[in-house]
Amino acid sequence: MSSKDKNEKRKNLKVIQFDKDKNTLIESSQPKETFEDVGGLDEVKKKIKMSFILPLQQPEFFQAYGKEAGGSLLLYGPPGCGKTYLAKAIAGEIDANFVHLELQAILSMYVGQSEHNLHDVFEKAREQKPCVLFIDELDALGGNRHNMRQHHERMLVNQLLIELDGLHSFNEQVYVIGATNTPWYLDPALRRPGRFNHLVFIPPPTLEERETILSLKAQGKPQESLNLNKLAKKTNHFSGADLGQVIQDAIDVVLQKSLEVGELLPLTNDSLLKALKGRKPTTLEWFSSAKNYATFSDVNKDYQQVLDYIHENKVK
Amino acid sequence: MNVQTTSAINQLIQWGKYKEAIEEIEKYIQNDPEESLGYALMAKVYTQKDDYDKAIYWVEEALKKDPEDALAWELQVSIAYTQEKWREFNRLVDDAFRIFPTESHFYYLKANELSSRMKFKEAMEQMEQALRISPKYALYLANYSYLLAHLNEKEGSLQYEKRALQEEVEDSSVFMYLAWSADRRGDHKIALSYFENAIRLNPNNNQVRDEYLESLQKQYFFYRMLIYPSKMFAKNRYLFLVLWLVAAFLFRPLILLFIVLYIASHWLTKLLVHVKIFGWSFSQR
Repeated sequence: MSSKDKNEKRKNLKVIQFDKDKNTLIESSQPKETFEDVGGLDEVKKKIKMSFILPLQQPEFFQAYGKEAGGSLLLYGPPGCGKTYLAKAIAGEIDANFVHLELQAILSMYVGQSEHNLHDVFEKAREQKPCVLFIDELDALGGNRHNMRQHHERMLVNQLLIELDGLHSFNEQVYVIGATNTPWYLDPALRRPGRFNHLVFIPPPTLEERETILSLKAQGKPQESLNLNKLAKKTNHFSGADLGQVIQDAIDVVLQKSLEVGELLPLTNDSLLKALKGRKPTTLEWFSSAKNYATFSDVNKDYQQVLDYIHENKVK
Repeated sequence: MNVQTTSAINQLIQWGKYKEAIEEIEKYIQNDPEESLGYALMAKVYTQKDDYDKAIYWVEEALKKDPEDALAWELQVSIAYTQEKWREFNRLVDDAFRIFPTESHFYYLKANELSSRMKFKEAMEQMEQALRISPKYALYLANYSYLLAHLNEKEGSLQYEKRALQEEVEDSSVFMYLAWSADRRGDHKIALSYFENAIRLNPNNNQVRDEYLESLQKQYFFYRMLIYPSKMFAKNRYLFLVLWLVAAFLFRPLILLFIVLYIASHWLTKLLVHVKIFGWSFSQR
């Protein structure tokens, strides 16, 4: 491999995902992210490193204490809080390719629109190893079989279990990461050892993280000196996507005014605060559901950390 | 309509991916604006999102294209029922019986409306009609068990409870009916176990949560004693009212004492249940 190739490999992430219009898997190249690029989430990153990345990088340490590498990782939490970004960063961290299985691809498997079935996707990941196979919206693919009336729906969950169980024999260097907003809908069989046994809660951004996200979203736009710390303080419980929407709303208003007066007007603190008035954190609805599941339906106490988060952060 | 498109939309709705479902339905309506099913599916999404104003708008659009669209009819009757607009419900359900005489869901809704007015015998007739069409549907069997319990037919109620459980053990609505049925029969421990199943399966439902917490309150003997008169009221409201008036006239201090004890026991058991479930934190609910 030439140094140019090596450099290319370091910089870029090979991404394979389903193209709905072409009804097939397509490859693309995206800038590689690592944990350094993920602002905040220190506790989450530490947990992922300890339970997932280090056992792969330094297996001898873990074997000495009887801990095996492998198993899969399940990221869960409110929507828009960076689960997909984090999965890509994990791929970057272990220098792997990235197969992204998302809702439209899963849907095409259910309704027979695609020639590609789940086995093909796993095979593709095996061909590209080392590879992170990221299953977004895992609840759609691995829902509880008790709630499924259609035979073919149950078959797809069974197929997923078979593919995951091949982890030790055929899936060497294939690392499966699932993400879901509703982990309580997953089939319990998916949570057994060797499958999605590492459960990681991805919370909404903290104050510092919100300030960083706001500054990234506003970057490169005409702006006066912005007090983003003040805005971050007013956006408790907002997800990253919610913050992006606030900036977008403010930009829309400023752009419209700019067109009216015929000159570029800057984003101002006032325009951001006005945009904020029209938005509420979308995570609250998620926390309301999660609280109910954690309180009444969580026999194994899997979601205790959600209750702790709610309590510590006074989520209402 | 393309069968695959319909399947995809229904699948998205089933997964609760409403945003994606709406996008697919919009595309479908653009491609086939004369087909009623696209509008009815949009109504289904908004019904599931509890946005009934928008749901009704789309139901009306569907019925403009096809006045006998089955899904649109099911939704408009169900919405009137959920919103407790009883006059409208009764008008619609009568039309639905005429247009869809073999659709069991309408008889089930009508039975529920009647039992909410304590017309249990009439409700049973409607449920029997629903069960003739769908004899193994657990929800109807559980509902019938509940109606039999109300008519003090304990053996029959137990028999239908058993049949319902043979058919389905993963539906919170079935467990809710079975819990009410057991509660009505005085089997409070069994009722609690059914409520526990219901809440495990559907903890996000307000009614399920409230009834589960109330059933926990009923585990306290002193609370059960004090709510006994309300059970009498349910059995024979006229006799109860007469007895209450006579008692109020003859033993006014005792009646006042009873009311005080009732209120105190209600709040005390509520507090005990809250601490048991949520701990001492009072920002939890």
